[in-house]
Amino acid sequence: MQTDDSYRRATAAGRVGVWDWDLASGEIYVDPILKEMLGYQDHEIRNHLDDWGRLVHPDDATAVFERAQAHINGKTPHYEIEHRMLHRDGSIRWFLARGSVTRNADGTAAHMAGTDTDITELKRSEEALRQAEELNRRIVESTGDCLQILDLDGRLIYVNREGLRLLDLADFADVVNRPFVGFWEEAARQAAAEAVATAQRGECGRFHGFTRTASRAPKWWDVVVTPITDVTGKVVQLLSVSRDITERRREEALHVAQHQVLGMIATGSALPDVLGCLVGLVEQQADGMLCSVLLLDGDGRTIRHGAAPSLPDDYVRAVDGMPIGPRGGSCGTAMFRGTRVVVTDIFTDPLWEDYRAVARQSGLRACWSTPIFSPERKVLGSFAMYYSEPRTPRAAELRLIESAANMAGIAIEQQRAHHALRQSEARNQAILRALPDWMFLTSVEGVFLDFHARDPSRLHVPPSAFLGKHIKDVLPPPVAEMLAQAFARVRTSDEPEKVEYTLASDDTERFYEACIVGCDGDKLLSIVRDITDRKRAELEAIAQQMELAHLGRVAMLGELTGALAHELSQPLTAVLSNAQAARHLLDREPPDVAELRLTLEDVIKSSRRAGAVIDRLRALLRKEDIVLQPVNLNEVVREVVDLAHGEVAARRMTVTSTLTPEVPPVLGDRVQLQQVVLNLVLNACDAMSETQAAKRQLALSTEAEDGFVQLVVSDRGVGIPQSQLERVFEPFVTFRPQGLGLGLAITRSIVTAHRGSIRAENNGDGGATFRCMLPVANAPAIKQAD
Amino acid sequence: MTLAIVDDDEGVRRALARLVRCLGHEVLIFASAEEFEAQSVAVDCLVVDVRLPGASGLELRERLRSRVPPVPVVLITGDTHPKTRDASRAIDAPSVAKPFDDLTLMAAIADAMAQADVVGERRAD
Repeated sequence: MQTDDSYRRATAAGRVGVWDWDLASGEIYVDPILKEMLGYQDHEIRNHLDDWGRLVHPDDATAVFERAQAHINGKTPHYEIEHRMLHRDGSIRWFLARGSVTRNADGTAAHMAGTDTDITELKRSEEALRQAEELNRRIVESTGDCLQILDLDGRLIYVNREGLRLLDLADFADVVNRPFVGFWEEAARQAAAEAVATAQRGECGRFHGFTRTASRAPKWWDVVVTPITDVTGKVVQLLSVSRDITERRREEALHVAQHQVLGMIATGSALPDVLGCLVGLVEQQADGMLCSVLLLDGDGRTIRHGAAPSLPDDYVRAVDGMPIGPRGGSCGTAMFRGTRVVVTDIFTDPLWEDYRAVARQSGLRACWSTPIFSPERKVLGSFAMYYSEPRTPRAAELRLIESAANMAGIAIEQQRAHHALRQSEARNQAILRALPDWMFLTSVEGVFLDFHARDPSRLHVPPSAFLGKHIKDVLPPPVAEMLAQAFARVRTSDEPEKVEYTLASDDTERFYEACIVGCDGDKLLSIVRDITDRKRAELEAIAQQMELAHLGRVAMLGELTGALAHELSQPLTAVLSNAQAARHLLDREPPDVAELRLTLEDVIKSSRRAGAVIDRLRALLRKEDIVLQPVNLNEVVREVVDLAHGEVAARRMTVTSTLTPEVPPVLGDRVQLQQVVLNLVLNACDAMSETQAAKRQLALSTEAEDGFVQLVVSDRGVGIPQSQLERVFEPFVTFRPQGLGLGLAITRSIVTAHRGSIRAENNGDGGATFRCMLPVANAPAIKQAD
Repeated sequence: MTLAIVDDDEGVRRALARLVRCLGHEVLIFASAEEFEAQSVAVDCLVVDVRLPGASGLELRERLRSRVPPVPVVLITGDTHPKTRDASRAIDAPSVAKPFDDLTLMAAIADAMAQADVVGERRAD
């Protein structure tokens, strides 16, 4: 072996030089090739041991000298050593030195001659090999996998240290020579045998297998079996690399389980079923592990049974209904504390004092429990793992229990949400049942899809007559048309619309208000309310208001009688005088026909004038419906000034009207607006009855103002006591000796009915000003009531 | 006889003037007290509306009463307003309420002239 190796080395090495050492003189012949190997010319190195010896690496010099001495002294048959030499360029060269001595007759050594071979390259590859081997060794020793070497019969001849650990083996001797296939559980043996056979054929075999470790722990493995070949490529051994995938499989299984449980939750399975399934799935993850879910009652302190398919019934019953608390076993305490509780031995742990007996009967010895939380971190219950022997939880189990508690939380929360939803649905149903409103669901085109009515018999037509039909086929054309337009507006604007309409049923007419809103994107919901009573009350109120306004006008005309009598007496005087003059003219011979004609013209003119006064009176006194239409307030003011002319003149007042030309029309009832202006004018007249005649100035003006037209009536009268400014519009509040005190009250009621406002203020220089704001008409005439 | 008629209402003014002319009298017409006073004309009787812009018929009558000889005045009124009515009643002047007929007017004119004569004679005394 030694010789073989030296030979191999010599041949592998490149260059060889000879040397001959005279032991007596110390002179040494060194082959110039040797010197050249170290970067020197022949003459640069003296052929003497002192010089040549200096080129030996200092760390090796002693060993070289001792090895040489040993041979010289006859202790070794040869001189041979691998040592380092110093190259001229500072690098180091490895040499294999070999030699032997020639001895004198007395046996003393005379010469030693030999060879030096440069083995630097060899040394380098040796080092590389050594490093590679070291690496392999380290890989084998530090890998997390189980490495096994099998002989060609498939028997175990080597297991790495990690493999022993993974298999819970104390000593390799326990398994040496055991057949590899026999390690596997029945189900995996076939696959293992095939993988071995594949590797024996020189290929790579692979399988997943299940087995138990020496301590019976179940483990899943991902196994690759590869052939080990010699230099000729012949399979000499097999290498099996088994990776422990138990965790991965468990996680995968847990994933599948989670999906299964989440699926149940999503499809609305009952909570006990979901929790039971969850417990079953978790129990599958470890041998001998039993699980339970407990729920915390809504009162926050009572334990309720959740799911524990594998725990003894007695135990389940013993726990159900107990309070949580600081010593409530593992679960009761976990729920109480809101943190995980681990009890490694139920027999000794103080937390279990109250439950120890029943746990003992049920064969339970270790238990860890973790609280189940809602998303708001409210404790909903607990998830527990039990074992029949004292033990501490593995990390994987703690991960598992947290994950299981999470899923239980989702299930409980989902069930509670579902329950709450059902309750709120029930509540909605109750509200719907209680609502007097009708609801109609229609397509955007107006086809009735669904409806809600507390009493369907009160519907205009029975459901069978409108469901699936278009509004136009169900409702009278004007109503259907109005609804269709409202539907179209809702569709485009997505804003709710309100529509009022009437439907005649039997012999009565009923009023309805429909609020139409978009629904589900492509439908419309119409909430219809019978507003007949409200409408009648409104109409009654309008009628009352009209009656009051009318009374106000009558009363006002009473005050105006003097002036009105004058207005009428003027044309009548002219008519009478002209008529009498005409009689005289007729009596003349010949009758003065020309003058007679002029006279009759005057009669006609005056009669018309009287008629106009009567028309105005009649208009004021008439008791008609309010007709809201665009009214030019300037015209109203002019008409009133005209009408009140007599009264104003009689009271020796001057009226100035400053009417802004082209004020926008206001929406109103002409007669009622005349009443407002007339009331304000008469009110001003009354206020100035004690004012000096020269100062009796009444100013009327109109101006447009941001969507309103403002009417201002200003007098120079006594003004209004500051404390009464707010009260002047109240009925029966008057500062006039001859008023009922209804004028301004009626004025305000009219203005308010016109959606306007009126206020009174005192002028800085005496007198009062009334400002009345009326909204500009921007819609066509609306008939408020029939 | 020459009458003056003061009334702010043109229709009334024209009709009265026509009537009085038909009855055979001369007529002068004025729209206000101020207009009448501005033209100091001599008339036998003044027919004046109580309600006038500016000075009223009553005021005009007061001013004319102080003239020598006094001018007879007939007040005509179409007003039933209590204040106006009371005022004309209080002064005890011949007055007629519109509308009136020709005889009533002429009677009132006669009364006024008779009253003025009495006053004139009393002054002359």
